[in-house]
Amino acid sequence: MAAEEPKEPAASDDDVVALAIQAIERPERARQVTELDPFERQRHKAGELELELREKYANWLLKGLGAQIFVADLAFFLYAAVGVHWKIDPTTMQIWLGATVVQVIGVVGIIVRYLFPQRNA
Amino acid sequence: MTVYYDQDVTVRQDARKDAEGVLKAALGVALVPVDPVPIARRLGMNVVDSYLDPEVAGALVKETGRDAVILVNGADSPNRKRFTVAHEIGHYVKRSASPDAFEYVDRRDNLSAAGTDQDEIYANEFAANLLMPEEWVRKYTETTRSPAELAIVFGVSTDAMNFRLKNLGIS
Repeated sequence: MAAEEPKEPAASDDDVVALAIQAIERPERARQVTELDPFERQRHKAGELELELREKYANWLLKGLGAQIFVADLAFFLYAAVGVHWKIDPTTMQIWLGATVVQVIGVVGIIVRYLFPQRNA
Repeated sequence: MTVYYDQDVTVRQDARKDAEGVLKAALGVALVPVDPVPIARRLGMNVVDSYLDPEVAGALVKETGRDAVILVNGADSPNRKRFTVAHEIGHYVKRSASPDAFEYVDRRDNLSAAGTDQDEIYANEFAANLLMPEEWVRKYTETTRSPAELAIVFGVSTDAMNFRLKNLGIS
């Protein structure tokens, strides 16, 4: 239960100290402050959630990218090592590898530019 | 022009180190504006909104064997309350080694930058470092924000922000 509001504000040192002692002795009657700006906390929480989501997206994109590079490298290695008799047009391989490079640059570009943009740019 | 004496410099350095330590221990992660109320509570103090004269910004009272209490002027804005609580935490930290009872009643002029009392110099410097840590202020000023914009970011008055920038030699 909140304490009854005094008619005059505490002005002298003695009155202020008396008010503090009341708050120490009867904390349940004092108007306890637990935070100054609840909206700030909500803003931080929203910011943290947004960052968490971005990190999740970035992690999945990077994992996908890793898998893509692994598959591309493995296929190219097999092509070079054991694919001597494979009948694949060299242009196809060039385009495929070129597309992989573009894909890597594109995904990294999306992460850097859109998921984690520079706020003051 | 503000003239600092050697003793004042030591007090300010102590306040800066103590504020950095408290901030690191309490929050760990940089989040501005800093809310000093949870920090006070983690230090074992209760913060209470009180009906105080407009000239009284706040008070810190500690009785032997009891938790300390910080009173803030209920009519003040969150930014003023923020500075008052940070200032009172400064007094508490300075006296934390002693189990004795103590009391501080802070009036507006005590919290002003022109304070000459060593305890008040310490508490003001502590508050400034707790709410506007040098590293973060420098980081934010790299993007050439105005003092008013910085004051919003750090949740302090424009006067307090300007004084901090001046003290850090930024403005």
